Amino acid sequence: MLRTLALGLALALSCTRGPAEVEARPNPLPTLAEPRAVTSLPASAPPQARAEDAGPSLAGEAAPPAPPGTPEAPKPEASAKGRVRVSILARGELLRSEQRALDGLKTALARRVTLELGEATEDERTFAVAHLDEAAAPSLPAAWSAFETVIVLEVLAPRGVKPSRFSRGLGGVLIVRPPRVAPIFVERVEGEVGTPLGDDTLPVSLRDALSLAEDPA
Amino acid sequence: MNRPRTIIVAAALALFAAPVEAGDRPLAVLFVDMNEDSGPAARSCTDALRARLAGDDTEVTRLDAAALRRRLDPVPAGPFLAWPSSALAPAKARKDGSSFDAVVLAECRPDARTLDVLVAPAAAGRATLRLRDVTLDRRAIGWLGAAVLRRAWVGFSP
Repeated sequence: MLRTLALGLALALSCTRGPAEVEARPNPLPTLAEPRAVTSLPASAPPQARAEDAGPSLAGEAAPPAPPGTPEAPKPEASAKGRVRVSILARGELLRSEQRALDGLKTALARRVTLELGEATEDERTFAVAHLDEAAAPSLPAAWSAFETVIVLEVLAPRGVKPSRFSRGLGGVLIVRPPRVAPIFVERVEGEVGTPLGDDTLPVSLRDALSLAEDPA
Repeated sequence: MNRPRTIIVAAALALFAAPVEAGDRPLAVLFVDMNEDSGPAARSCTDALRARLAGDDTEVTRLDAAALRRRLDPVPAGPFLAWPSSALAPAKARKDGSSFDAVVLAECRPDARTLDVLVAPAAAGRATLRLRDVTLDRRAIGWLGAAVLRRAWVGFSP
């Protein structure tokens, strides 16, 4: 009786410690894929970010008009100050678990920054793939002039076939500070070194990336 | 509950709540400073990155570029960021017969504002990370170090 009670209490305690330990170290284990994949990202950001999402399509979008009183050729960053775009470069169909993780990432980031998160447009894909595959890089997507920072997250194509697909997680990362064409940060991956999209450290890392001090030549 | 029972339960809880578990061990990282013929600023930068990687869950061993080249046969051609992870396999072997879980190669050039890192974790594959035109202060290096660690843990098995 006494032993059962002690073991029960200890088991309960050890169960409450489990998740914290898992979160402390990135878990490389893949996530079981859901049979249905979601290809669009729902707008679940706070009102401030949602209002920006409601604007025109990113592809080919011009920079917003300069406020009155600015010089004739305003620098794009004048109106882009504080605005961040996170562009998702999915190399395959997004799994539902990946969709959920991205929604969580959006929520976590939107608490601190004026954020727009969405799937990569065609010209964003072209730009990002060129950098991640080390090909000749094209010019910046025009819509990026409206942002102070653009972060491209590559979601690796899942492993396996339906209905047993597994997430391979986060692949490459690009951080661009328009109008500068060259990214200030490029992370490329080869092989099975993707990290979980639901990694708790990812939102913090992306948020901290916004405060990296640019130091042009 | 009387006092003896309380003591027994507390002892059982202490036993099960112990922070160290059987088979647990830190991530063993081989950190290679790829700065060659570089000044103190570059050395300070890579030292800061190495310090960032070290922690309760990691055990970092430092090696310089020349020593790494002696371990590799043959030394891959081209810049180290292009080296395949398979070429680094000989560097993972330790004298005691065990292996490093991850190899991290880093080159920091504060004068050019560049910091390049290659990570070859236990998993099959590799990651390269490049910072460009960013002030390489403690914040930037700490940020990059966290990104390096995320890749270094992939495939780790205690």
